[in-house]
Amino acid sequence: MPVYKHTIDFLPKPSTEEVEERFKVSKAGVYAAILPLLAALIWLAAVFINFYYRNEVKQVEAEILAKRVEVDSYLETRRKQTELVLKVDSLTDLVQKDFFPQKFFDDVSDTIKSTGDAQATIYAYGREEDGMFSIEGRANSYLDLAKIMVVFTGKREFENVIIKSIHYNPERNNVNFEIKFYYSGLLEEV
Amino acid sequence: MPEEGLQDRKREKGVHELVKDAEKGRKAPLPEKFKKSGKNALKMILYYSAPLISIAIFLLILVLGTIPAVKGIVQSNNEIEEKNGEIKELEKQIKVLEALRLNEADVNMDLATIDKIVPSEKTQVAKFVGEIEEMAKLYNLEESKYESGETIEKLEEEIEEELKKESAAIIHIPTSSEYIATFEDIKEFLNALYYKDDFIIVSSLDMQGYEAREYQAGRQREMGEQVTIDTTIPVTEWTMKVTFEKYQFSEGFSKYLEENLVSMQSKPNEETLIFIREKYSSQ
Repeated sequence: MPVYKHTIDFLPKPSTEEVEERFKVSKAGVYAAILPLLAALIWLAAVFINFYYRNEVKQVEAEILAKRVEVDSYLETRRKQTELVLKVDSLTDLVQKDFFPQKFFDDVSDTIKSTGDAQATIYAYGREEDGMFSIEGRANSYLDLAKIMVVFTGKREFENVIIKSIHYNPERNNVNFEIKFYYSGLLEEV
Repeated sequence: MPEEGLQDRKREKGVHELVKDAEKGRKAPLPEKFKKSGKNALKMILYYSAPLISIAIFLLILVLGTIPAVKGIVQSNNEIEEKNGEIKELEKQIKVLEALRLNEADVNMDLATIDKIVPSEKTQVAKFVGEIEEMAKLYNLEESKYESGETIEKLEEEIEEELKKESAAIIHIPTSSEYIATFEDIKEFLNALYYKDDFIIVSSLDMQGYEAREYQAGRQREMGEQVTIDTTIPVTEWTMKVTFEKYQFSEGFSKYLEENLVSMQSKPNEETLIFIREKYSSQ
C-alpha cells in the first residue's frame, strides 16, 4: 500500500473562515492599490496634456513676436504717412485762404451784371486778415443797391453778405456802398 | 499475535479519529485569534486602514498633482485664445500697412510737392521779398513803398527764431508792399503769383481805383479832417496795399514726427490734398 495513504498531517489546517478571511484581505489589498494607481495615471495624463498646451503657448508667442517684427518693419511707411497727414492737415486752414484772383474779380463783375438793369461800379477791392472780402462801389440808386444785395446773397460763392456802409451822394445822386462777404469759390477752380 | 496486530490497528484508528475530532472542535474566529498576538493586531490594523490610506493617497495626488495640472491646462487654453486674438489684430494691422506701402510712391510724391511749396529748411525771407519785387516789375507795378533791407533782416531773424520752435508748427512769413498800376496789370500780377510754383497767400489786400480815392478824399473833407489820400495819382491807376504770406514748417515739426505716429487708419484731408496735387504737382 502507498505510504502517503497512511500519512497524518498533524499541522492544523486553516479553517474555512480563515481561508475566506485571507481571500478577503488579499482582495482588499488589490482594491486599495487601484485608487492610487488610478490617481497616478490621471495625474500623468494631466501632466502630459499640460506640457502639450505649454508648448502650444510658446509657439503662439513666437508667432506674435514674428508678427510684431513684421509690423515694426513698416515703421518708415508709418512715418511717411504721419508726415503727410500732419502736414496736409496743418495746411488745410491756409489753403482755404487761397483764392484765384481772376475768378474772384470775374465773379464779382458777373454777379453785378446778373442784376439786369441795376447799374453799379466797383472802385475798390479788399481782403482782411480774417479772410473777409470787401468791395466798394457806387450804385445809381438805393433800389439798384438792393438788387445787387439780393443777387450777391443768392450766389453760393458769397457767404455772410453784409452791407458795411452806405452813403448817399446828393451832388451826384448816387449811393456809395461797401459790402463785405466771405468768398467760398476758393478750392473749386484749379 | 494476529490479535495484537488487530488491536494495534484499532488503536491507530482511534488516533485518527482523535485528531479528526480535535480538528472539528477547533472553531475559534480569526479576530479573536489576532487579539491574542501582536502580529495579529498589526494585520488587523492594516486590513481596516488600507482603504483609508488608499483614499488618502488618491486625494493627495489629486490635490497636489492633478488639480494644478488641470488648472495649468485651463490657463494655457485661455492664454492661447487671448493670444490668437492678438494675432488676428496684428494681421489686420499688417494688411493696413501693406496697403499703405502700396501707396508709398504717391505719398512720397505728395510729400515732395508739399516740401517744395512749404519748405522746412533755413528761411530765405530776402529771397521771397526779392521774388515778389521781380514779379511786380515784370507786370509793370510801380512799388510805392519798399521793404527796407533793415526790415527784411529783422524779419529774417524773427523767422529764424520761430523756426527753431520745439513744437510742431507752421511759421507764417509775411511781406507787405504798396504798388501803383492799372487794374489789369494788378490783376495779371496777382494771377501770376497764384500760378507760381509756390504757396503764397494774399492775406490782406486793399485795392483802390481813382473813384475810391476821390470818394475817400471827399469824405475826409466833409468830416473836416485832413485829406491824406493822394489824389495826384493818375485816373487810370489803381493803388494796392498787399501782404503776401509764405509758410515754413518749424524744426520742431521734424522732431515731432520722429517721436509720434498717427493711427494707421488716419488719412490726410482729401480736399486739401487734391487741391495741392492739382495746383502744384501738374506744374
